[in-house]
Amino acid sequence: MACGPVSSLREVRAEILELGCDTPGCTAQRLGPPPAGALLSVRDVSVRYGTKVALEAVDLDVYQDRVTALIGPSGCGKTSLLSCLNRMTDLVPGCTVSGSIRFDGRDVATEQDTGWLRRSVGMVFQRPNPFPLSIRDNIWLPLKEHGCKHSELAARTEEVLTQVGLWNEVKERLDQPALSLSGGQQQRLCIARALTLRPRLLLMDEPCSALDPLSTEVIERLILDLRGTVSIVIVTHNLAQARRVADDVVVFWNHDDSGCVIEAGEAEAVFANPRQPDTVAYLSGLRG
Amino acid sequence: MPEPTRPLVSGATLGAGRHGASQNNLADTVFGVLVWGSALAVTAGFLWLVGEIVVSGFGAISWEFLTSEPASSGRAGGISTILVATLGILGICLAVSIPLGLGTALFLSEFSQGENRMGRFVRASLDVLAGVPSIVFGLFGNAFFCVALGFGFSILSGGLTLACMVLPILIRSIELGLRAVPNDYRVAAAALDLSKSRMIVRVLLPAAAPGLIAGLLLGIGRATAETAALIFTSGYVDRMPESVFDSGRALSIHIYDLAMNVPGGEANAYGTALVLVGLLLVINFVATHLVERFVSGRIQSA
Amino acid sequence: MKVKSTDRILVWSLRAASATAGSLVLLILCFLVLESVEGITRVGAGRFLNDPGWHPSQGAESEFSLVPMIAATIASTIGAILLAGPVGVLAAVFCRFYAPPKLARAFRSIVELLAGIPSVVYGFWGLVTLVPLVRELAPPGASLLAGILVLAMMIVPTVALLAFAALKNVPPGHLEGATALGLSRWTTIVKVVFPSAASGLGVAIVLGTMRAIGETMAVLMVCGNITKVPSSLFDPVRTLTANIALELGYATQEHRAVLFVSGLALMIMIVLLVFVQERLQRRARLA
Repeated sequence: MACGPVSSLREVRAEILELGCDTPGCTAQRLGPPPAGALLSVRDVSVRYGTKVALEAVDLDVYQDRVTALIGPSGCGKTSLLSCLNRMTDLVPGCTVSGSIRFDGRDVATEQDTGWLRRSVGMVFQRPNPFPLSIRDNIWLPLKEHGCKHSELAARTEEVLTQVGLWNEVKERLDQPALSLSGGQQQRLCIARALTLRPRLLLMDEPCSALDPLSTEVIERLILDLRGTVSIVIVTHNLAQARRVADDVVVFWNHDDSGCVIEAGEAEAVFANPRQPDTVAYLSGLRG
Repeated sequence: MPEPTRPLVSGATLGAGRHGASQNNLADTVFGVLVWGSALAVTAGFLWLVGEIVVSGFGAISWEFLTSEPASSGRAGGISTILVATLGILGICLAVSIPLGLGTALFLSEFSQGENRMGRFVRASLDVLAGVPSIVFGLFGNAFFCVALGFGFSILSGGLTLACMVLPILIRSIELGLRAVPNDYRVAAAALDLSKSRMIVRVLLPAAAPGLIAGLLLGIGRATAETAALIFTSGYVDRMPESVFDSGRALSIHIYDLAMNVPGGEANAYGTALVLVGLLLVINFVATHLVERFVSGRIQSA
Repeated sequence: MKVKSTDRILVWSLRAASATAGSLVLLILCFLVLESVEGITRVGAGRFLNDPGWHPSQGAESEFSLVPMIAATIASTIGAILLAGPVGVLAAVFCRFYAPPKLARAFRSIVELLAGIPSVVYGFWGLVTLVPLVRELAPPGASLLAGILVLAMMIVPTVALLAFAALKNVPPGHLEGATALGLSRWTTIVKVVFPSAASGLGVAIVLGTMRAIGETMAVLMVCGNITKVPSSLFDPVRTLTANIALELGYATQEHRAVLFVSGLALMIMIVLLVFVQERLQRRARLA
């Protein structure tokens, strides 16, 4: 199997037959060795909006202190899966989630304490969405809500803003409206805001898709810096980005109008040696 | 609600081929005359009405007029007691309608998404309430506040009746303001596990403030303009009210009484009308511009 | 999902506020019905239509015919909407398609100002300017005609503002299409714009009608308030609303109850019109 990602489809199909794999479908076995103990494991999860099935029978694992990228063509349920992970799906009327999602030994789907869940699992959205308040208040609001002592507010603010590399840029103007920042700065502020709660897992939904290339580069560097402090799940449709930042990759695909996972594993292994023809085609830009 | 009025397709581009068939040409001309005629008629009516009030009312108005009590049934003297009673009625009206209106609007915009029976019921009943004629509010206020609750003809009864009346317009405009706040903020707050109460107080209300104030001003305007609902609730005693349980005469009722029941009261009726119209123009002007300023500019907060 | 205790208090107080606001209409209906019952049972519903006249406070000889007032309300409403409907819609057309942007903006402000002027001021203005003019045509001046004119003037802004909103919702593609075909303004507006905005324009007319039916002060001040079925435009009339405003102050017993009956009748008319309006609005949204 010395073929790169650009090997022809026929060759790959032959290999699959040789290996005795099933026909292409919604199965995904991990490529590469699994690290010990998954922080988050998703089993047989389906997401429905009313009667429309957005995501069908998804299995995946997220490991401690690693960056996991969810990739795949648009409309294949990556964002839907992401929002199950911290139960943002509760906010969507008519949305039902089935299957099991275990995070830190607890079942996300039936978790009574959504507060604990949302504090442990932070989220950053596609469009930067700082509150229409001052920079400082954007950080203070969640801190105060979750009982941070007044004497610690300043220190924690500096801590998270430093973490995202924003401190030196804004320390002189913490009282200015957050909306006066540039798009990239706003997104970093949102990341800082999510970090205030010291989450164990950070969900990022295409965090760079609304940004210019330079800001994107800054955010990507930030993601690499954060690795080790917090585990990250990032949705992206930018393959190059996934290559640059991800330790693990999960490939989503559309089957009969609903999304599923077709390939998962260590990033290098998946990019170098995909097993599914759809993955090959997607990675080589033939489809998707 | 004020919106940008620039047409998407302006009059200049529309109907570029107006020199088509000759009968269409004639129809086009006649229609144009009617359209311009209607606009002229409306403008003329406006100028006539406002001109009449301003020209005839201007002479009556002075500092003296605003600060002295009415004498000989309002023929002489000023309108100080009337202004006080109007403010009292307005105060009661707002004290009741603001919390009720804000609460209902928050419920409708934040807690009754999708198919919610309570939300649908409240919405439908507010739609009907908005159409109820003011004299019917007067009947209701008289039967409920004055007689059943025993408040009699009083500023309290009048204020409460007006509160019922302005509620629909208040709720509708506050709800519009709240809905205009981008959903991003709500989602972000939920992801940070902010409580709904904190999200509403710290994020939603500040972001929606201009809309809320504009709605409030519209409500105040509606309440200040009202007459029929007050005749049989706050009554028309023109003495200085000493408490909210006293009857008090609102500006609009003063105009009515002077014009209809007091021979020789016309001069002061003009004066009072000018004060009332002036007040309302200022309120509407501020409301309109507040909305425009904040809609065009960035929403920010202290 | 765990809800924080502050949130629970908040939700319950918001629910309480909404329940109060929502049940107001029922409360109003309740009181109208309650106060009307005496009138309907003691006087009898038939007499509202069959009595020879309106002489409500003469003990056993009282007469309770509401026919003159109903006739006056219907006549003044129809007259006003016949005048104000076309003028209001055409004024909106002017604002949307004819006036250059600056003029349109100014004109809209004028219409908004007119919409904010209190009805008692319209009534007063009618009393001091229109009534003397009508008197020169045919005495006494205070008449159905004066009422129609003042009412029309009052509801033109309502109709115009709502019609303008309806015209604005016409998809720009329709207009561009019509322009590209070289249609004249007249054809574009009458054949393309009006049909496409029909439901919205209907809403404007219905809301205008509602205002006209419910209006009290303006008609009270210029109509002359005689309880007779009018035979010409120059006859003085008294509408249902004016009747309530004039007599509630001293009415007792059956008389008071009959006034509440007329209030209930007004309320029912309005509820029916609200239903019509809602259906139109739903159609307008679908279109």
